[in-house]
Amino acid sequence: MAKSLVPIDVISSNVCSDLGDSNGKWKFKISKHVLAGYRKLHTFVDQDFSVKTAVLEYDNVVCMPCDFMYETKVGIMYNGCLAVLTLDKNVQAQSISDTESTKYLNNIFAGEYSGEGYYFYNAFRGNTSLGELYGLGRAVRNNGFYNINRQSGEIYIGSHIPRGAEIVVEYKSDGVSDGLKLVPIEMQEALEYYAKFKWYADKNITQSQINKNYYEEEYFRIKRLYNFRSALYMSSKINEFFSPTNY
Amino acid sequence: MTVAAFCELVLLRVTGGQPSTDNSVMLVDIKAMLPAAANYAMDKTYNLNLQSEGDRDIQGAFYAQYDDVPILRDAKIPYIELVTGVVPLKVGAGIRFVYDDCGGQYAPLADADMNTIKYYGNQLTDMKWYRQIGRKLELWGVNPIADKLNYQSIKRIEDLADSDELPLQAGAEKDVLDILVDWFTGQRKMPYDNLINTKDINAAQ
Repeated sequence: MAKSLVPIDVISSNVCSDLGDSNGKWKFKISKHVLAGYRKLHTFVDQDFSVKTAVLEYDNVVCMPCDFMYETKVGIMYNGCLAVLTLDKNVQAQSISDTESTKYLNNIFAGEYSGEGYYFYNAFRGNTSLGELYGLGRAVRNNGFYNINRQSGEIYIGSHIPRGAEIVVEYKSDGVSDGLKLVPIEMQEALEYYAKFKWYADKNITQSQINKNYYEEEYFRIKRLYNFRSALYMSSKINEFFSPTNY
Repeated sequence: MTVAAFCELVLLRVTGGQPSTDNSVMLVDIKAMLPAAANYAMDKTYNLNLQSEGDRDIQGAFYAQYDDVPILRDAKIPYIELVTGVVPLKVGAGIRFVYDDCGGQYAPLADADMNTIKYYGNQLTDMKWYRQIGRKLELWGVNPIADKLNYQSIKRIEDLADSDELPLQAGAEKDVLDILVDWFTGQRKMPYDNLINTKDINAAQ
């Protein structure tokens, strides 16, 4: 879907205008509500833009980006090659011994691995976009690789990771904490209603409720838009379910 | 109405329509009292508009445009020196339309938001804020390459020249006129609207 984007600044200004605040006195408060609203929509509705990949420098403890929610893939980049360590939970990880771990990594870093791999999407090294990175290997599990503490947002690096390697983490982003300028245009009305619902919450409960109702209508409209599948697609999926070879 | 014309009018009323060199009230006295009466009338007009139509706008005719004011960076927070004093109206309405030479629009930052600006500043990238401290305007999120700022403000009444227009909404002139005449003729105390219902409790009954 081609995306038309609207600045948060414009949405906040629209709401200020609706509230009769021509001087922008409440713009900061409104912007905070817009951010909170977008974080919700982004987390629960808009799954398309949620995945980012960070290329992080080697250290004993590596801090995750501030918009990190949970990891979807983890890999190690060394010698120009990216070795996949962990994939999405849906993919069963293979537990391997210390010797096998070293062999697995050395094989990939030496360019001798011939199997398939997986893409790490939307990759950034600092502020530089790297596009997609192709990781070789599959999900493997060994205590010597790494350990992630999601609560503190840190990765503890194990002894199998070669010094000087880069840690590549594809993760679900909250879409906001690393800075937000633009949001998809289809969310504009929902965010405006959400901001007004929150703004009125402790001032005028009737107005708050009215705006909340409008927001919920828009919320479900966006959800329907993002979850839309054509009848043809759905029928092929059903056929695929009943008859894997005939769809 | 210009400041000079307005003061002459008050003098004419105070002297009973017969100007004399023997007056105890002089034009300078009227000019000295004018800001208090005019500010009161502006505040009253604001409340009246808000109550009758929910309108928070102040008429554009009262604002003056100040362009290319240099952004100074010799303090911790970049700032500009305001060119003139500003009428201290509610909701900071004395200043509006603040924008820099890179096209960045600035919005006012309330005191309550100061505690969270550090956190939200990183999330609301590309949004810019200002905060008036005395005759300075602090700028938050200002573009590093911006070096000029433009803004509109309502000039402080004390700073108005004789030929400047008084920033009074149509209909409010009479209030200011009455207040000043009553003050100088000793018939009235300072106006006071303690219930904020646009009714002056010290007005003549």
